[in-house]
Amino acid sequence: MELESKHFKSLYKEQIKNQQLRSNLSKATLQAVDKRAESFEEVDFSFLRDEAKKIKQESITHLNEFLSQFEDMAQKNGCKIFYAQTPEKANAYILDAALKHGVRTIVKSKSMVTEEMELVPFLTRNGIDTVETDLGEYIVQLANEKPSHITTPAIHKSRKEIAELFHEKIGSDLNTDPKFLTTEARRVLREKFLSADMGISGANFLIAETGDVVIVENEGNARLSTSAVKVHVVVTGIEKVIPQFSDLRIFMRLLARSSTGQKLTSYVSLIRGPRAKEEKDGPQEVHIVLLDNGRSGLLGTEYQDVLHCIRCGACLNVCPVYRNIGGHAYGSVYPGPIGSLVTPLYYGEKNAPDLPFASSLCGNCTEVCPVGIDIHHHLLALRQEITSSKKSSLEKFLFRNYRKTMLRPGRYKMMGKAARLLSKTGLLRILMKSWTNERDLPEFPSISFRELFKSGRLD
Amino acid sequence: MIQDDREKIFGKIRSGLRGYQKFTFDRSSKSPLKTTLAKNFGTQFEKFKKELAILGGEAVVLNGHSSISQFLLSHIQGSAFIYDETESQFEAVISKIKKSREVKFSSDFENNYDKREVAIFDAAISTCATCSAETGTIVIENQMRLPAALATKLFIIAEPGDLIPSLDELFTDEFRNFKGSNLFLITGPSRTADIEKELVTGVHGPKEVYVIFFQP
Amino acid sequence: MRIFLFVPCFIDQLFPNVAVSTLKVLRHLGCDVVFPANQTCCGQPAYNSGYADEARLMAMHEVNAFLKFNSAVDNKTIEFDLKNDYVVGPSGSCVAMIRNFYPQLLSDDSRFNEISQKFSSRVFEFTEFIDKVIGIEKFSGKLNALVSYHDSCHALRELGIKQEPRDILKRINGLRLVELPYNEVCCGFGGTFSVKFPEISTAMANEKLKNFEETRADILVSSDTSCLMHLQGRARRSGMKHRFAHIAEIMAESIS
Ligand code: SF4
Repeated sequence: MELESKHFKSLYKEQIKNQQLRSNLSKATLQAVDKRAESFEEVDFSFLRDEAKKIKQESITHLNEFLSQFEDMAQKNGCKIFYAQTPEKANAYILDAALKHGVRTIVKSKSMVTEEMELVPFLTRNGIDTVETDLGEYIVQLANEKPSHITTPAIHKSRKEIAELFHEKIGSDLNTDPKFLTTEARRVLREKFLSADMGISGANFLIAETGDVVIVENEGNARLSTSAVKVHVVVTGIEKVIPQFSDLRIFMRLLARSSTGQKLTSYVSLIRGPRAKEEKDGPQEVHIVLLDNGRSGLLGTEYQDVLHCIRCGACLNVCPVYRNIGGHAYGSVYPGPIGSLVTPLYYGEKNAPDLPFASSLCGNCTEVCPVGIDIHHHLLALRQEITSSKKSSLEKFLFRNYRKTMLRPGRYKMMGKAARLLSKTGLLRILMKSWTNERDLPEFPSISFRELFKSGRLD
Repeated sequence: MIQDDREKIFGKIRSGLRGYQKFTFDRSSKSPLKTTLAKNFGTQFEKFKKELAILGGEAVVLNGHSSISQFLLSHIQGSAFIYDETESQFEAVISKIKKSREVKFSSDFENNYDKREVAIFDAAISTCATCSAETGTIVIENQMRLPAALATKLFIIAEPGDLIPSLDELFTDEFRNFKGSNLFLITGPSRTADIEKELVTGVHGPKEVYVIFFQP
Repeated sequence: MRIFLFVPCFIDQLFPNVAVSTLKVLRHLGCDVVFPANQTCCGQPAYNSGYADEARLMAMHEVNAFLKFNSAVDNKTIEFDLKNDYVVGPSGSCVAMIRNFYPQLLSDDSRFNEISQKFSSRVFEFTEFIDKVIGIEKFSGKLNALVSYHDSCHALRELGIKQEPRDILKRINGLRLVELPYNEVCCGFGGTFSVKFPEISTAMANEKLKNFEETRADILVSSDTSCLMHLQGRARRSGMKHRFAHIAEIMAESIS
C-alpha cells in the first residue's frame, strides 16, 4: 500500500502557508494544553501514568491470553467476534453483516481504526448511506475531507468555514455561531439515528475479565449509534484489550484529562452484549471486529510500547510541529508525534521516510503521554533505522566527513578557521541556504575559544 | 460466511512475543487522588454538587415527596418518560406529575417499540445505580437505553446511600457484576467543543442534567 | 575542585565568549579549571540525525580526550579522576548527549562500556553544577537588566533543569526576570531539524519571539547557545534588536 505520507515534504510546505489554518490550530491546541495541565491538579499524573503503563505492559506482553479471554467472555455475553488481518477483510465482513440485515442507513461514531480501513467510503460505494455522527467527523465528512486530529477531527476548520459548509450542504442559514451550527447538525443527525438500522462504533478499551467494550465520548452520538440500532458493530484494534474491570479506575482518570482536560467525559458506555431478555431496546446483535493491520508486527520489538497508545491526542496538542502544519500534512490517518511512529511502524518506513525526522526532539510529547510511551526517543531510533537502510546519500557522506574531522583535533581546528574565514566571503551563506533563507547567521569571531585559551590571554 | 484471521493473528502475536519478557502487574490499592473525601454524605454531596455545577448540571437535596414533584413540575414543560423502577419508590411524586404532564413508562413500551415514540419526550426521569462525587458522575443501568439518551432534560432521583466518594469505589466487584447488557456513566450534559473549541451543550443527548437526592 | 571544561564545538568556533564567560564564572567561584584540548564534538548532530555509528566514534574520541590529555600550558599530562573531577559544559543539549546517551551508545563496546557509565555521571550542565555541586549561595552579582529566560528542551526534559538557572538569575542584584508565556514550548532549533524543515523551524521561532516581545524584556537568556543562535538569527532577519545572551555571559558581566 502506498500512503500520502510519502510526500510529507511537499504536503507540509503547502499547509504551513495557510495562515488561517495555523491560527485555528494554535488557538485550539494551546487551549487544550492549558486545560490539560489544570485538570491534573486533583490527581497524581505520574502515579497514574506509571500505573497505566504497567497495565498496558501486562496487556501487551500477554496479548494472546487476554485477547482469547476477552473473546471467550464476549461470546458468552452474546457478541460475535471477527478477527481481520487487513482492512479489506474487516470491510468485507461489515458489508456482509449490513447486507444480511437489509441495512440502508448506518450511523457511525468516532473510530480511528475505521479511518485506517476507509470504511465509510467503502460502505458508501456499496450503496449504504453511512453517516458520521460525531460533530467534528460530520463536518469533515460533509467537506469531503479527512480528520486532521485524532480526537478533534475538524480542528483545522474555523466557524466561518463550517457555516459556509452547512449552508451549502444542508441548507442552513449563514450563521457562524457554534451553538446554531451544532443545533443544525443535531437536527439532521437525529433523523439519521431514528431511521438507522446499524450502528458502528470504535472502542477505547476491551476488558478481558468481563468481555466489556468501553466507549468514551462527550456528545451522546456513540450512545445512540450503539443503542438506537438493530445491529451494533464495534471496530477496533487488537491492542485495545486490558486485563481487568478495575483497571478503569486508572484509565478513566487519564483519558479525558489528557485529551480535553475534562475529569471524565460526559458519557462512558460499558457494553456487555446485545439487549438482554428483559430489556426493551438496544441492538439484537453485537459484532466486534478486531483489526491487526500491522500491529502484531510491533510485538517483541523495541517499539512494542507504541501499542500502549490510548489515542488521547495529548501528544498532538503539545506538539509545536503539529501546531504549525496541522494533521493533513502528515498524509496519514495518525498525525502528530504518535502518527510519526505509527505510520512508519504499521505501513513500513518507505511510506514515511521523513516523518521521524520532522521533530525537533523537544520531548514534550513523551512528557504528556498518559501511558508513558517514549515517543521522541523512538523517533530517534527510527531515524537510525532509516539512515542505515540507505546505502549511500550525500548526507551520509557529509556525516562521515564530519566524523573524520572531529576525530582529528588538528583538522578540526583548521576546518573551523576555514569556516570562519569563509563566512567573511559570503560563500557560507550560499552553502547554508536552508538556514539563511529566513535567518541570519551569527557574526563569526576571528578566533576560537581553544586558540584563546592556548594563547594564555585568559589566565 | 467470511473466514476470519484468528489463527493467523494469534500466530503472529505468539511469534512476536516469543522469548519476550512477560510483565505481570502488581495492582496497588493506592488511590491516585491527592486528597480523599470524608465519609459523610454532606461532604460528598457538596463535592458532587460542585463537580456537576462546573459542567452545567444541578444537584439538590430534597426531603419530601411534594418538594420533589414541585421541583420536577417546575422544570418539565412537555412530556416525561419515567423508568418504571422509579415509580415504585416514588408513587406519590409520579402521580402528581401525571396529573399535569403527559407521562409514559417503560412498561408502556413493547419489545421492538418504534424509536420515534421515545424521541418526543422533553424529560426522562430515572433512579440510578450510583453517583460518584469525585467527578459528578451518575451511573445508570436501565431496561431501556434510549430515553436517557434522547430526552432534552434528564432527572435522576437518588438516595444518600447511592453516593460514593470516587471512581475507586465504582470500578470494583460490586459494579463489575452489573445486571443488564450495559452500564452507562453520565457526567454532565451532552457536549462538544468541535467548533473552534467553543463549548456547546445538548449536542445529541440531554442539555440539562438534574440529580435529586431524596432525604426523608 | 577541579573542572574539565567541556566546550561544545560550535561554542568553541562561533561563540567563544560563552566559553570565556563560563571559565570566568567558574574560576570566580573558586574552581580549578582545565581545558582538555583534544575535545572536538560530542557527536550529537550525527546521533540525532540517525548516524549512530558515526556518533559512536566521536563519543569514543570525546571520552578519551577528557580522560587524559597534555596541558596546553605546561604540557604536563593530566588525567581525569573519576571519583573527584567534574566535567562542566555550558550547554544542556550537549551535556545530555554525554550523560544520557553515551552510556547507551557505548554499551556494546567492552573498552568503553564501564568507563563511559562512570564518566557520564561526572558530567554536569553549567547551571546545575553551580546549584548542585558548588552551592548557589556562593554566587551573587550585580547587573541592571530586564531579562526573560528560555528553557532549552534538552536541559528541561532530558536533564530536568528548570529552577536552577532562575535561582541563579535571582541572585543578580538589579536584574529582573519576566517569564515567557508558554516557556516550555520548543523554539524550533532541533539541530539538523532547523535546516531539514526550515519553514517549520522558523515558524516555531516566530512564536517564541512573539512571546518574548510580549514580556517587554530586553535580553533573552538561555543556557543553550544553539537555541539562541537560531532565535537571534530569526530576530535579526525580522528586524528585532534585542540581545540574546547565554546565562554565563550575564553572570560574568554581573561579577565584573
Ligand atoms: S501517544 Fe500517548 S499522548 Fe499520544 S495519543 Fe497516544 S496515548 Fe495520547
